[in-house]
Amino acid sequence: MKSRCRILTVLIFAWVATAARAELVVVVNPANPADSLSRREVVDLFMGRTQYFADGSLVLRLDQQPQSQERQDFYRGLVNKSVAEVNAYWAKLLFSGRASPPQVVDGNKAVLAAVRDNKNAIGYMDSAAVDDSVKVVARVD
Amino acid sequence: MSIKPLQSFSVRSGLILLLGAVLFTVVLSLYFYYRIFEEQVARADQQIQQLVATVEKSAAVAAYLDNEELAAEVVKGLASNDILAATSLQSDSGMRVVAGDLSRFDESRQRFFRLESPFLPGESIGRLSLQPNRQLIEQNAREVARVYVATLVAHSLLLTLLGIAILYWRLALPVNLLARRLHTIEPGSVDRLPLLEGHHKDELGQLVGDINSLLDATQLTLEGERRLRQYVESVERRFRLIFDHASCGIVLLDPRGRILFSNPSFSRILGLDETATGNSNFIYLFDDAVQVRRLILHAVTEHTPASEDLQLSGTRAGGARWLHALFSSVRSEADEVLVECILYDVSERTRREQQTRQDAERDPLTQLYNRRAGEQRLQAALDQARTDQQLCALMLIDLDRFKPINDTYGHDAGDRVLVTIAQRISQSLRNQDVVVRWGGDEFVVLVFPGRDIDGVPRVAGKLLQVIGQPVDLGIGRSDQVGASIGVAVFPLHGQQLGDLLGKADRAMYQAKERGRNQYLLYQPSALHKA
Repeated sequence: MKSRCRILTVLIFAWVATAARAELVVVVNPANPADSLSRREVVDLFMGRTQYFADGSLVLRLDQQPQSQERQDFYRGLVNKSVAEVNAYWAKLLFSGRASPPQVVDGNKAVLAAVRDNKNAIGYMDSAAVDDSVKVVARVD
Repeated sequence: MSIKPLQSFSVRSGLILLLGAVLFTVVLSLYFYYRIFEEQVARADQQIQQLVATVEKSAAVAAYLDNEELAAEVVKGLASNDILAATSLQSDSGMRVVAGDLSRFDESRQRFFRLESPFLPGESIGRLSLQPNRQLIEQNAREVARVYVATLVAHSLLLTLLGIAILYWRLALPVNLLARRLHTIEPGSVDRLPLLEGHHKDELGQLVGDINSLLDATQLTLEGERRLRQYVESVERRFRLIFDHASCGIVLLDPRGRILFSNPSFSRILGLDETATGNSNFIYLFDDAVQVRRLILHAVTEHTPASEDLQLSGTRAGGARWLHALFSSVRSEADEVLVECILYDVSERTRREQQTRQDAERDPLTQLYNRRAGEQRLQAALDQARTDQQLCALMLIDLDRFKPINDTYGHDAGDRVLVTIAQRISQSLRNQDVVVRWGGDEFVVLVFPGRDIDGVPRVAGKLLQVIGQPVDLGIGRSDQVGASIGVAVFPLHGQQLGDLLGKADRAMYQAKERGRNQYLLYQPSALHKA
């Protein structure tokens, strides 16, 4: 009885949290030829498998601050992993020298600015903070 | 006691135990060897899977990113395990990194593990190929199995040897000792089995106790039997002595008179060859077989002893042999009725009795009945005639002219005349007739003339005729005598002997008066010549 009550409580909180969570979107520079990216393409880009865009230019990946809600929600939604798990993944690749984690910027505004200013950049941010200076190519929920 | 080694209890038991243990151990060893070998091989396989599990994530990442450094690290790490000969990591996008002895790659023996994308579960991104070091794995498995089997064999061998040792020291050795001792013990002797050290209270101890009890009982029984046998033998010897040396003949007969058994005296008394007695029939050894058969029958049927004097067959009046025989029935061990007969020679006694009787009854000169015995005989003959309803004639014979001869020639001549006449009278008559010397020259004769009285004159005439023959007087001369005979006939002239004798006497006197040398029948009224 007691445990059932607890499960109910957790479910209610989760629903409230989901409802409260902001929608995250993947954004690129408007000059980027891609109009939309599949989830798989997004995974391969952010996890380092795809290092170049189709036109051969090096991808500039942008990550949000490790403690940020956006980063947490992004990886959970994209590959169902915690931030710590993703950090462990990068740590494992640290010494191979071939793959490196995305560059970290501070906050949605910084992401927006970086993507707007850099033709090869790709980042994620709260959809509420998006403006026309970037192109939304995927949504993560 | 010689028991061949292969038949001995200890050797056989030991061999059976050893064989059983060897067979059992061989079977178990084979089973466990293959079982453990398989287990070890399976275990190596499991180890490989565990190794793979350890590096699976790194391998997946390496394949995901086609990261050759990471892939090399993974495959080298795997290849460093000696149970793996070679490893390779391939990504679906074309990367292939290998480590280990490439020449050992063998598609058929390889183990493949699919690698999944670390971020998109279920999506295959490459594979890990492992070449197990089969040779090493099997070698190790064999090693382990061999050690196990060696331990098992050693264990079995030790246990078997222990079993054999216990069997030998605790059972075979004492049993062997007991068997050998028991074999040398003579039944009835005072020897006993020894109590076994350390076996006082177990089955062997009990066995020893029981066997010794049996030996005690056997000794007692045998001693008793020996004493009894000695006693029986001594009694038998004494009986034998009595039987063999008895002066009387002892013989055992069957009811039909066949001789079954006899003592030496029997053969001696009967004058038989000892070897021949067995085949003779007792009954026919005697003059009167009917008498003997009757006596045997009496003894068998009446169960009371019967005894009589028996005359041996083939012996004549003069040297007649008489045996006194006592018959009694005995029952044999086989429950047959047999007859025992005890015999002794009574010939001498019988002869003496006969002599005495004759001396008393006979006239010493003529050997005829004397007057006293004659009267009895006459009375008996008359009684017989009365019983048989027969005629009989009583004749009184008085010699004529005897006195002159006696006076002239002497008494010896007279005696010769009397003896001769007596013989002639006896010879003229039949056996059943009676002749008596009644007085000096008087004779009485009782004859059975037959159915009627007509026979009487014939007999009387014959007597006159034989008496009148000349008599040799023994002195170179002979002479003649005559006779006057008076006859009285039973039952015509009287019933009683005295009466008849008196009437014959009167007739005789009448005959003398009539001129002698004639006979006269008694005439109650008138006297006339017949």
